[in-house]
Amino acid sequence: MKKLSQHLLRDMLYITVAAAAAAFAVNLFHPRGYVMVGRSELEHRRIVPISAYEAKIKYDSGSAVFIDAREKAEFDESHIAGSINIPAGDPLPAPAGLPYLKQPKEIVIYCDGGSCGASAILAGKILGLTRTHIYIIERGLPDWKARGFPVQESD
Amino acid sequence: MGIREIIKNFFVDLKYGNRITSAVRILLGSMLLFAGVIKLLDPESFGGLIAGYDILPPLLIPYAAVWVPVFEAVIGLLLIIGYKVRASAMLAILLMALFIMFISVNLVRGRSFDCGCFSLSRLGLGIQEEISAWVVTRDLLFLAGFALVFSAERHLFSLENYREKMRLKNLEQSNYR
Repeated sequence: MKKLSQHLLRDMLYITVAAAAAAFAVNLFHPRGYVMVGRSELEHRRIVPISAYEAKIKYDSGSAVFIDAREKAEFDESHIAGSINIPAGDPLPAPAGLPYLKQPKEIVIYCDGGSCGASAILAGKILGLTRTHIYIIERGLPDWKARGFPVQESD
Repeated sequence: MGIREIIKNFFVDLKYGNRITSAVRILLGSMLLFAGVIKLLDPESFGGLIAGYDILPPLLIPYAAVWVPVFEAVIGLLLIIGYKVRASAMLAILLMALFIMFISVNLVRGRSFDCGCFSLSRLGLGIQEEISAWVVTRDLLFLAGFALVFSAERHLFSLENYREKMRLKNLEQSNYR
């Protein structure tokens, strides 16, 4: 009797494991299956590139905080009206200095055009502090200016 | 032979395994296979259904959605062809107990939604399977059926039976030679 129950348990285990193996094999090629994604990659999907035009819609609705990722000197020269400056190269201010992260606001980051990496770097830094999406203006400030959207220049 | 004898013999036969237990085995096996294959067509929406039960942590739902349909289909197939019958019947009993638990917990919570047992609505049959006491009763009946199959020692029309026959036949031949 004991041997029989051991056989039974062994067979049950085999069937369960074989089914699991078959299930994952099927899932791999299933058009509506689940896809395994690395955790960090899933996190980075929250960084969304948008055009200046889409950013303007967020700007007009007043639901977004605009962050300038460039250096302070560049920021002083000209920036999107109402935006704040957090240079990507500098260490991030303490969470107390970033009150907007707690507010239900969207975050839009920009720098000097498509080739500048500052937006992406800053987005990566902020990513861990917020649960929401982070938007990057794809072609940055030049695109924004070219469309004649509001800019604050230095006097 | 008195009526009591007949009834007693009936249960003895059932315990040993006769055509009734074999029919139950094949029917329930086909049912599991059908349910598994239907769910296998769309793991994503099955995952949504599992999430609706609100018992499993979200982290486990994709794994359950991937594994359960294939598991059902495999057990069903094994029961139909009659290979490792006892083990698969036992697994089916456990699976049914799990389903019953999931459904009853949500009945107690007072919720009502499609149980997703066979996804009949997806086939366009227009049959709703809201979770209810009836669904639990049905699953209990299935469980009893699997228990019957599990308790039987002989399974007609099965691979196990066929192999045993062949073994005995060869034994006979070798003895007389």
